[in-house]
Amino acid sequence: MRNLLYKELNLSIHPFFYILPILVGLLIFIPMWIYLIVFMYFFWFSMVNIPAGYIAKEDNSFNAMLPVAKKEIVQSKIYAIIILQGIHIIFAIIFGIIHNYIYGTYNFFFDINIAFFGIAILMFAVFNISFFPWYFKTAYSYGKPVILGVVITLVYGFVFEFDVVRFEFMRTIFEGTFLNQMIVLVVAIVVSVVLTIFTMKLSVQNFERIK
Amino acid sequence: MNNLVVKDLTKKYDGFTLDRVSFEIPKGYIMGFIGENGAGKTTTIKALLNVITKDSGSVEILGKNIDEHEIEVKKNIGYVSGDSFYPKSKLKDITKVYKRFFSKWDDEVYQSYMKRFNLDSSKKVCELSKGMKMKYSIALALSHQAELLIMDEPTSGLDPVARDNLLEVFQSIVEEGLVSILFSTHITSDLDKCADYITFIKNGSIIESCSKDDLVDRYRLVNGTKEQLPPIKNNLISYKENAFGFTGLIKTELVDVNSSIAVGQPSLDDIMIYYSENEVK
Repeated sequence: MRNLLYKELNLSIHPFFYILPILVGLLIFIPMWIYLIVFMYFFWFSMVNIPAGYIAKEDNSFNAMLPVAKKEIVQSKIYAIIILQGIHIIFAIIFGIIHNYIYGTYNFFFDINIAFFGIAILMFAVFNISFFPWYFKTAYSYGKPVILGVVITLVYGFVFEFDVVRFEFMRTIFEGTFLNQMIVLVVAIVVSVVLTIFTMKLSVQNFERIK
Repeated sequence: MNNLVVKDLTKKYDGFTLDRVSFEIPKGYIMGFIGENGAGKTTTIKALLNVITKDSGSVEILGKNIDEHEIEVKKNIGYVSGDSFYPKSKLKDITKVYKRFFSKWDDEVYQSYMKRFNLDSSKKVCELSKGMKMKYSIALALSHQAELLIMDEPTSGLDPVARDNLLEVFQSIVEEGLVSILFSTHITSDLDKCADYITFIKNGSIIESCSKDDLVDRYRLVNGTKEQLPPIKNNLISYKENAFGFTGLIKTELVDVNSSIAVGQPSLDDIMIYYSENEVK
């Protein structure tokens, strides 16, 4: 598994996708914006181009030469994407702290706070469970799974951003006390872990069924 | 002892069935896997390596069932698929990743093959000719002390000199009697040079799997006049008619020794061609 992950991060995924978190992360410096969009660029750019890269690089042919189980191929690809998502989160945290220092914490839409990063982490997990199990039914056809993931995360983002603007009690939950925000973060992380476990299981199952 | 035992390997697709394919390769020998395009050579190789899921059958490599010990078994195999990979990556970058998967990787052996095949590791795969790409895949497959080498058309795309060099490499590998090689090809002259055993596949079914000499001995090429054709027509695997009469392939035991029909030894090409003829009797 470690070797496969090394292969994914060094050979299969283009270095551009490690710079992208910095580039799109800079969007956080737009004042009074819908900051969940920052993470959505990952779905629109990376999750289209990385699977297309697998095809262009004939990654399946290379994998066939390696002493690995099919299950590990799936797991390594999902872990690699989760690592990339983690890099997006890390840069968003760094730029978010600077943003709040410059502009203050208030935002018309969702504030950049602890709960916000919980919601962002959960959004990645929601995208992953929408995308990966379907993608691994073929391991090359990525168009429809990406559309599904993008639509679901747009709805997800809209629901949270709209609710915070529209309902005061939602502001209290997501932008209230430190404790409230921490609860949101912890719950989001726990749900994300559960979703990721299902993502892995379903993806492996689908990939092993490919004839 | 056999390094590879394939038993009743079956894989069904719409319009094509790999039908109960069975063969075995003894330790220290080279087996040529022949058949026309679309006969099922690549499907067999991919199914026996679990690259594609087989419907039924068993595969034992180096005494171990591949379904039960897949990773362990694959570490002792060198597989050359013939497919290209990572065209925009440099050879040294691919090798850096590839060698991590094999605990018995031998950098000295790898470098010697790179030198022998005139491969520059700072080049990208897309900068190599088809033959050079194949040589690079072979260098990778040969550098981790594999006990079984499985190669899908390794000689295709190579010029005659490179092919001859490669066949010499194959022979030197099996010399010590530990490594076995299975390689598919439709260039039968390669097999004349180095194969000990031949497995012949047609339309997904094995026609023959035996030593090269036995295979050639099992068939005879017969030449006769048009008048001589009708009596033996039904015994022929197939035949071709020409202005002077006919030429056909027949199993040796069916040859009538009292007949005046000219009988000769067929080449591997003849056996393949006559089996593929439409006028199958």
